[in-house]
Amino acid sequence: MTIELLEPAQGIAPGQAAVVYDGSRVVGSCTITKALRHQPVGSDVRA
Amino acid sequence: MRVLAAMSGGVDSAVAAARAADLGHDVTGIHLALSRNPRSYRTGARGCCTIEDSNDARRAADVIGIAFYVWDMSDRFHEDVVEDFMSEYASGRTPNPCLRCNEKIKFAAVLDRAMALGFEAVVTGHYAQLATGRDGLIQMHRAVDMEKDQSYVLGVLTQEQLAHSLFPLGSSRKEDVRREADRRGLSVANKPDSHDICFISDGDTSGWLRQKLGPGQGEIVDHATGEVLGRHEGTHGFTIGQRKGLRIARPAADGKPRYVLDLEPVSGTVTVGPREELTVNHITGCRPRWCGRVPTEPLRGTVQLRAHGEEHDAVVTVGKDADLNAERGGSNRRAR
Repeated sequence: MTIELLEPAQGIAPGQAAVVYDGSRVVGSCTITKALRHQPVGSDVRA
Repeated sequence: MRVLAAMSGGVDSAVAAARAADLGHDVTGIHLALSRNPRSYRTGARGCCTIEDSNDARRAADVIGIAFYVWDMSDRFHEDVVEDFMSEYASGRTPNPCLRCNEKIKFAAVLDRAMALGFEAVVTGHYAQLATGRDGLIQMHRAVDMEKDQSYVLGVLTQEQLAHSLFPLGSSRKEDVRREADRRGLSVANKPDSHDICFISDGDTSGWLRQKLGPGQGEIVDHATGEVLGRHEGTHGFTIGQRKGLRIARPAADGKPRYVLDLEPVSGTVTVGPREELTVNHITGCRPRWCGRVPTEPLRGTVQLRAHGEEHDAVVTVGKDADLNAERGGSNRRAR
């Protein structure tokens, strides 16, 4: 299961639960395995 | 119907049990003894697990006029919740034991036992709303009182579990529940809300983990340069995003605070860096649990990433993992 955050989050740790909602309705959940950091656009271009 | 009300000794579960009785259900109250060595009295604002709490639950059941029993679930709780909590931290992860308890104890071990005894549902004081959709499936929605909404810690429940659950408080506000408890003569009306982790009585998670897992050691390393900035006594004393208590002697070159970015329990490495590095926009997850149908298309919805955390707009895509179906339904419901 993958989650693309349209609004970024801070300090997310593996093991925490991500609960998915559709409006007010709970769709389901998963246990976070990886939280990948935002790569600012162009960060690897200057090298 | 014959229902079992799980009564922690707190105000919410007492009112939930009373409301279930008012609805005409045949209610039996149970208090779950979850601690192997229960303390006699509450210290601070813990909402369960002491003899005093058990007595509070019994008094509430007397006032409501329902039968009351104590079920000893301490071995099961220790195995499925406490040991899991320790091993998750030992692996560098940050578990939420309340979700685990709901998944494995309250709506699994307790529900199984209740069903075997002829009960049709378990009633709890959780703040979440259940409704039947047009497709006939039970839906779980956030509570009316968003301050108290507990749908996050119930997000592990499957359709089968939801079909045997009742949450009578989901459409109420907490202050109204307290007033109702007072009106009903439930002496727990002014009992403080429970917080934190019920089996860590003094609230010192880091100290508890150090005692249980033993001291470790390792290095605190800068994320960019790899420079060793300090040493520590075990990765379990740290959480991702933590800023305080790093005990790094030298400030960062830019003078900005440093945060824990990563934990590697095997090597004992704690990686630290600037706040910007904590920003996350892509998450992968395992052990999916579905309340109803599995989304077959990418879902544009929201996600909540910690209890009482904010919602984030997100697109959720379910992979083609072979274990998806195996994880669904009651596959982890061991008979015992």
